Amino acid sequence: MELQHKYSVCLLLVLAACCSGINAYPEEAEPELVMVNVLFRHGDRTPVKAYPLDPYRNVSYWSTGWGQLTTIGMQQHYELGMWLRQRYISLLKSDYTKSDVYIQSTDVDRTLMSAESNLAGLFPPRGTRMFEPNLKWQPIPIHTVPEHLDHVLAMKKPCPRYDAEFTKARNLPEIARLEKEYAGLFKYLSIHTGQEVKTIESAEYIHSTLFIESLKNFTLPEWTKTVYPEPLKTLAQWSFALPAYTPELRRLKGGPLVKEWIDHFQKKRSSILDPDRKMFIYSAHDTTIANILSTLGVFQPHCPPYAATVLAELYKIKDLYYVAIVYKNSSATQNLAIPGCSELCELDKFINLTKSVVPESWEKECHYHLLFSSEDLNDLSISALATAGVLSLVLLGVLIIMFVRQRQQVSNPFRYQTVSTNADA
Amino acid sequence: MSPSPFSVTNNLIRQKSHRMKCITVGALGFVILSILLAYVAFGDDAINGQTTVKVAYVIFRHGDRNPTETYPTDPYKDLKYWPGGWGALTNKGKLQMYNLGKFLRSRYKDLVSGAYSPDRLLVRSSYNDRCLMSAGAFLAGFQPPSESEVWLPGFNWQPIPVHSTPRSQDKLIVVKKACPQYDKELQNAYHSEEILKVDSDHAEVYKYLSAHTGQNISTVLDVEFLFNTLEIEELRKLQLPEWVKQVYPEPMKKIATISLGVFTKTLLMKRFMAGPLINDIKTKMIDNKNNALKWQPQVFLISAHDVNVINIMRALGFDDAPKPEIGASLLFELHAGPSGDATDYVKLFYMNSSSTTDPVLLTLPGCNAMCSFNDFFSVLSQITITADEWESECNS
Repeated sequence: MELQHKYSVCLLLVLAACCSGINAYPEEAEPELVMVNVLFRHGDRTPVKAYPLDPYRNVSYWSTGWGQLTTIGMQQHYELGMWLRQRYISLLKSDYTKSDVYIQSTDVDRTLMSAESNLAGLFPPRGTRMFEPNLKWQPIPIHTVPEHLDHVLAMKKPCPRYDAEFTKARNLPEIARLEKEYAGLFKYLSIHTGQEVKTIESAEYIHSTLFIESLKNFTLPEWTKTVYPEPLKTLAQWSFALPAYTPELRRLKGGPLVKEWIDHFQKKRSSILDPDRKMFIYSAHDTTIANILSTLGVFQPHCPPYAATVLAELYKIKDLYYVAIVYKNSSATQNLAIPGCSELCELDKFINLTKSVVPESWEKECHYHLLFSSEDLNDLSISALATAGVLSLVLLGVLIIMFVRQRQQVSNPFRYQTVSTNADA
Repeated sequence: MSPSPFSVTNNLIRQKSHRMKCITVGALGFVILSILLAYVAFGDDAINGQTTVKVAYVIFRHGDRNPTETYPTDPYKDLKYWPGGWGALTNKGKLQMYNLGKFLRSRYKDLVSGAYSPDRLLVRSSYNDRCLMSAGAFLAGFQPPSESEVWLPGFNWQPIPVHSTPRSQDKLIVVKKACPQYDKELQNAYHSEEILKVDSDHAEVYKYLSAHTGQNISTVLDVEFLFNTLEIEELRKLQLPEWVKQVYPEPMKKIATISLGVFTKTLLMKRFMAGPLINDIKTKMIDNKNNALKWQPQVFLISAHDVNVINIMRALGFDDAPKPEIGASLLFELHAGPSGDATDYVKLFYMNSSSTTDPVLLTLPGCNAMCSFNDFFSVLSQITITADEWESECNS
């Protein structure tokens, strides 16, 4: 009976492997889960800010204040915590220990609070762990870094090269066309919201506020009917694709976090992860989710919902390690295959395929000369020197020519005047 | 207590008939009793006139913890004695902080009533796990969900954000951001005549400790760390080795307290270690005062370590401050003056452990117990320093 069952599972696996054309599950070995990086968006929140003509701009409509987690948001994360407990029950000890789990959050109230609510569901204390008989809760440290210093999770540490690359991306034909196409909508929004809407991002802000208000069953003003949800939703989706649209942007935006995950995986494989943790939890924003999915090359245009979760799991099959990227954007989960690999992607292959979006030194690359955007730093410095040399020679030549010509002009006052009049015209 | 109620009532009694005397004596008894009761209930407020707390800025030390380290001959060096690991906050510590939160909730009931609001409560912590956890446990007692905030039926807890900064960037709480000027001062302090004398006076003790612990004990800091381990073991009711009795608690405790004081030995060191926080207290109080249109009381909490608490105490001028125990708390309160008095006052209270439920009113050296906001911070002007000034002075 058991043998038969095993046989059919094996057959199924072989079939699955044949269908996908890739040998995802080598032989019949069960993949053993060894660790996971969990990234989630905070739960239900109030609008970050109302627009000037918003009928609900008075803070009294929002009991917790602007941009704060609501009690629904707490519940969402408490439930997600319980869900994570179920999924990773084999991985975690019965109770929280700091040598098993590390938690990081962006330094924003709603993400810190979401992490706290999540942990209340993930690690309710049992028996001797309860410090107060009537309270099924225990304190668990949540680490955070001020946003302006955080390039890994908040992704807000200043990076001049990123800003330059972003301007470049904005001028890409498809993006420029999009902003042109929606110029009329921007004007319409500016008139009705009372604030200037000129970019895809500012349209996303309006979309987000309207979305929250309709979720709260507030009646939206008449003018919104022609623009909400569409085409505002399409624009909002674009706004999530934009920050990590090009390979250069990916490398500087989502790259550091992907790098951290790969570092965990590699250390785990080599048994040098210290402490030998099983789970890393990251509490962040919709933009973080979108940026990571984009960086991994698996972002499908959408607005990441509340408590959307990306799981980067490490499995062991025989002596090999595999990475699985799982996205939970509702109650259902979906396995995502990064381009060029299967859903269970062998670790070295995963590292190779993501190499171009993982920065070697984020800090250096951010402050690297903005004229060049080659990936290889060594090649880059050589080509930079060469180009700078050629450029200065050309410049010198131009200067000499100009100097000679100017002398000729001075000797001919009429010609000099003519030029000057032309310039004024 | 003022004697005036007595004399007035006595005059009245003389003018009344004998029968009235009985009633008056009864009334007098009632008045005295009321005054006594009021005194018990309102404490010093009854003396100074009714004042209202506008801002409470509280710095506390974390709760009971495991030792951060042990010594080679320690009978309890095995981790099995310390569930949770080295330096971890214990269950006892969580409960202490929870109770401290409850106690301060009752003290500041007007400030924390109603729903949690980020505009009215700001919690910051050292990056260290036990401090982050202490802040969490404190908040479970300090700001449980109000009726409208209950989000899970029967669950008397709600999430409150605790902000922190990595140690290497922290110039407010643990002040561990690199500061070359301070490091220079600290080296000088360890080699000052005073500390060298402490070393030489206790050369025998150092030798004795080195011999029995199996590790080199040659500075006040070595003694302090060892003292902490022994103190925690004793608190845990673990029997200490025989040799310990000769040197523990005294003179070790005295040396440990001196060691904690080295970090703020000079005025400049006080300025570096406590200046940014004093400046933050001042700024938060000014902001509150300036927000007259939308005025609301505010609470600021800082979860930190013993050395941070004593640094602030010493910077304020309490050079003989005791070694802060578990949950030791320093309360800076901005009070509106009694009616008719437009001045704001800063009151300072200290509790040396979480088991105290009677904050001691401290008088800032150089000021009165009722110290006006302006006087308070002008006394402290020499040690007050902005984050930017800190940065430039550290690297000057």
